[in-house]
Amino acid sequence: MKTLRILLVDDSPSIITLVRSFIEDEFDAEVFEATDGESAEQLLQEQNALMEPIDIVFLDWMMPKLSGYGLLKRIRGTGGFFKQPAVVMLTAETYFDQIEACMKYRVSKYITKPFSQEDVKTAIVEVLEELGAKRAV
Amino acid sequence: MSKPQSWKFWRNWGRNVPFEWVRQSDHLVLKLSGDCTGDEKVSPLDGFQKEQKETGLKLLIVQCVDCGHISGNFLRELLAIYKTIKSLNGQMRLVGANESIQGFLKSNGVDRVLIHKLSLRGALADFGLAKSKDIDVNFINPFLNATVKVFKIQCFIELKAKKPFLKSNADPALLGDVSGIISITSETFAGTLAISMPEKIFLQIVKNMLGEEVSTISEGNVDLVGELANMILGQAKVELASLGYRVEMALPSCVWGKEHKIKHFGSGKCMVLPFETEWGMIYSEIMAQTISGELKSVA
Repeated sequence: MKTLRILLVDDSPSIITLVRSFIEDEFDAEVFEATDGESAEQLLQEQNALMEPIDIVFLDWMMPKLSGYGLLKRIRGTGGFFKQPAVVMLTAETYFDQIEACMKYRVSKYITKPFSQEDVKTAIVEVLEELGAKRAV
Repeated sequence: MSKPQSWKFWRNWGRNVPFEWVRQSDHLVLKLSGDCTGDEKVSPLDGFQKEQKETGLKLLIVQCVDCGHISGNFLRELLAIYKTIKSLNGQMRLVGANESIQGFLKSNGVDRVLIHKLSLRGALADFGLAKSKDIDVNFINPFLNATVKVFKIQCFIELKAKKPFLKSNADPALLGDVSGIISITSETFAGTLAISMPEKIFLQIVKNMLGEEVSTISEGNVDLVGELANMILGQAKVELASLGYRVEMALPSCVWGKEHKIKHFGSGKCMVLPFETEWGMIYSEIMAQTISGELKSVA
């Protein structure tokens, strides 16, 4: 069984394919996909109900139905997630105040598009270190 | 209008003074940074009165550069400045305040007095000063630089910029076989950005990015060109901000097929930025029109 569960949320299927390939090249991870904030929220809740919560969410900002920022606020605002996933923003939104707004909701990393495989790898490694430190405490 | 003097005028010798006065030719700027407590050695109101007396200017932009907090005392100072400006028939705008400061103003019922704008350009438009500083040739450079950067990092393709040219909006035909289009909105202008390319280059991008050899453009891969438009605008936003524009993005759309056409938002002229690649030409098209409806060419 794969130990790391990662959810990719982006309205561009091609970007999901790209990030998935970056992740699968480097990590032994089970990768889930969603193309809007609402279906991502549903998937997060389902995985929680199955007692197999998502560890890391890669989140685009601009998406139909529910934006990535909207989903981030719901994730951090709801008591429904018994395990809070780490969130990595992966977005074309580049203003400092947007980054600052996400940081208030405990975003682990903010990656702006265009991005490289190294950006994705570094983000996951840092999140794993963060999770490891928390577990150690 | 004469060129702004744009020289900084420091009057705040005291330590921990989180603001500075900047004189422009037609308005004053009070730049705030850090936490503004209202206990500073130099009073903002005194500063304004001195600046106003020496320059005669009565238009003020209070610009939050890296300002995290405004106290009640500091707010009282700003309101006193506002009253002085009103008595002079001047105007005052607040720019770039974070959500917390905007919430603070609203909870104190002064958000309709200290009117907030997202960008300097928005404030200048309110003062009637932005017109002569509207879209000019510098406006296209952020898009040019962003296009080159996105193709290099995301598509592994080097672009060589060629001479930009104007295209009439009456001619909606795009120059490639596949295009990503995204609308641009801001406080002072609206428009569209399109990135357009021949099928051959698009298929090369799919191969470079996704490692997939595909023979045609399809529903399954065309979203990529919209995503490229999205990234280009995202990168251009940063440079546009340094010119005083704040732009908001929308969801991109994709169009493909031989001789496909789009209708750019608005009726402004369209600037085309051509780029040469190993496989042919790609084109960025930018159409922008001032919100007032008055057209201003980007050439």
